[in-house]
Amino acid sequence: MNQGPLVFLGTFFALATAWFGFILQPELQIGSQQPFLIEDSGQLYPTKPAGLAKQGEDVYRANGCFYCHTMQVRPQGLGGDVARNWGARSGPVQSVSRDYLYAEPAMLGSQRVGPDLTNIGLRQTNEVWLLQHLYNPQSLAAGSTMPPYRYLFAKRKTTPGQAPSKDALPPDNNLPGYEIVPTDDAKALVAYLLSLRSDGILYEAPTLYVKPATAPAATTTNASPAANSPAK
Amino acid sequence: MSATISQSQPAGTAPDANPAVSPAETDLSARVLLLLFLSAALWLVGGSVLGLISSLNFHKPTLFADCAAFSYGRSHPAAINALLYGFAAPAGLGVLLWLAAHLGQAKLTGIPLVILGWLLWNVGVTLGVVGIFLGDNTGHEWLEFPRYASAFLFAGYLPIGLAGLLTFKNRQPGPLQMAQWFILAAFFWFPWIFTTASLLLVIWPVRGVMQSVVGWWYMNNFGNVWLVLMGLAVGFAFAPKFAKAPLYSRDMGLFTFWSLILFGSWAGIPAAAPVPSWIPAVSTLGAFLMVAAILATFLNLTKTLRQADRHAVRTIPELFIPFGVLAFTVASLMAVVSQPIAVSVVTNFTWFIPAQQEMLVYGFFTMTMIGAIYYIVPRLAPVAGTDLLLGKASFLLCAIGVLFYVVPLAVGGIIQGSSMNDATVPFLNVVKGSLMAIRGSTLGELLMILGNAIFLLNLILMLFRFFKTSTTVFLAGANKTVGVGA
Repeated sequence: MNQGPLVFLGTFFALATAWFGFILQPELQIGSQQPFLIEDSGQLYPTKPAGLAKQGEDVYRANGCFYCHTMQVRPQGLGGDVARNWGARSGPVQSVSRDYLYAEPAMLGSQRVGPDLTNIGLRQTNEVWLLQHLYNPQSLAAGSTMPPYRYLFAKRKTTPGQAPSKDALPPDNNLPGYEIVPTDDAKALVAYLLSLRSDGILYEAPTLYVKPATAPAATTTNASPAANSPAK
Repeated sequence: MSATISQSQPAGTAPDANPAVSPAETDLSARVLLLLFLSAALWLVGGSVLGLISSLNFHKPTLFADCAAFSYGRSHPAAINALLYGFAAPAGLGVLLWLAAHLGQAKLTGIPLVILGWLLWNVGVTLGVVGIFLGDNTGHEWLEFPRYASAFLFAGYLPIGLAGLLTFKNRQPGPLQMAQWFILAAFFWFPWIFTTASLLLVIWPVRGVMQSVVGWWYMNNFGNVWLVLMGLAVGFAFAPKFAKAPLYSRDMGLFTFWSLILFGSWAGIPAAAPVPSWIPAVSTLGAFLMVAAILATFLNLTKTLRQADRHAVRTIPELFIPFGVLAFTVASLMAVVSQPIAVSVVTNFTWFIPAQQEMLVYGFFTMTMIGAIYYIVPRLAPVAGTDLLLGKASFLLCAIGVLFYVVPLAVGGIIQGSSMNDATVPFLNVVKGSLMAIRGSTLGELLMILGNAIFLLNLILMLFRFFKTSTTVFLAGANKTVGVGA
């Protein structure tokens, strides 16, 4: 008996099953998700990254930041993600598919050599700190294994008495006579990092509890108690 | 290999039946495969050196601070892709073409197609690696090559795959041997998954996290299915050869085949992925449906190998390929065990993941293919002969190297995951805690580089001796000229 056709058809069937199950079906379910309208603020979540942050996404991709940093907060009870305060969304809430709607590409990452960056824009809002950390991580986190990204910075000779460039890093005592100026790539990358914040309240990732004393009661009088849940 | 093929089959049963071809004639027609093996060995050494460069970033973070190309985020994907696309795919396809011809008692058909495909493919890999260095990484693991490189890979695969199918079609009639099932499926598997992933991730990207779903699907189908199909084709073809006995159980072989393509193709979606929860759930189910098949494969192949004469001296391939069988079992079980959420919560995002991948891609696939190439090359280039001492040295270095790489990272990964999940441990301590494991793995990388380099050296020596003693044209014209040693 010639079994060639049997092997061919079997292979075709298996591939088709895996394709329909894991490509087509998920695409039908979540492929056309839309941003969510937060009613009391009238804002959409997630927002499309724009301008410098969009360029920074390319820098993040080109330099393979995602090989060491994930962008996914696992649910409470699964690992220490929430306890490490990597979550956001005014409560201990995990990442959901809608968070990545505008990620191009989606760089969830597979390893945490460094910390998760889903909400780095909420944890660290200081641009200079982020630039300094990119230039010399060990100067801010002793013992860090992160490589310095000096190639994203220009080292310029300064003449005594000359005013430092507007965007130069704080002077480094180890490098007298020089100033360190971030390149466009470094600035874009930091803009991207600052834009990373999944603080939109979503139906599929509701706030589990309201943190006490986050806001004085008076300011919420206009909002109904259910304002944070999506009223469709 | 003719034991399972009925010799009494009349030549005229099928309308397109070809006369059976002797093994020597097959080898003469398949000399073009030396090209694939040589380029694969070069990429293997190149890729492992790149891997070492990327690891050096952990030993001295400031080392490549001024050099974008050698920074971890560029040299690491360049190394992985050089290994997967530069070495694994051409080596596997070359071995598969040889096996397809031999098992079918046919000549290798489509030599110009193989040369064309080999050229295009290697142009693609070169462009892809350079592209990653220049920052054109697509951002999708195991599919990092930019689209201008992927186009060459696709164009290069088609003629090679076509040559494979033509060779397969010219086989002698009769039931297929077990390895032939895996070979045929492998020729179809890659173009389907590569096209799907390239179209949906690079050409017309799907939105958001769907990209990750497609990416996980592709990685699993590339590593845990396609590479396994090719590697097990070698296992099922060579185990009976080594034992000079039939395969222990054909039924178990069929069970492996069907389980692998039906259920193995579902696995690989991390349990806590931010996607609808049925997706990782079905994925976990698929992984667990593979357990019986993994154990059956191990049993089937070891029972076959045990029939061999225990007192006979082991040849070099008889060291590499059984090691591959063992590594397949370990790597696959590591993948299955780390799939359900109870384990994944510890192992995911840790060094356990690269440890498992290295066990699969290097411990299983690369070792198996090096073994097969050690077997095939002296037959393609008959006067070449293998240098036994070099062969044994490369085996020892590769085998010890991969263990030095995998064991520390797997154990270190579990420790890393446990302390990462304990939020009272500062994250920087988690990072520092895994440095010991990384140092151990770098030693393993060094040993593997040496092993790979000796393999390449052995290959070059074989070819050099062959060219020196033979005045025969060895490429396209080979089948028209009188061969040596026939």
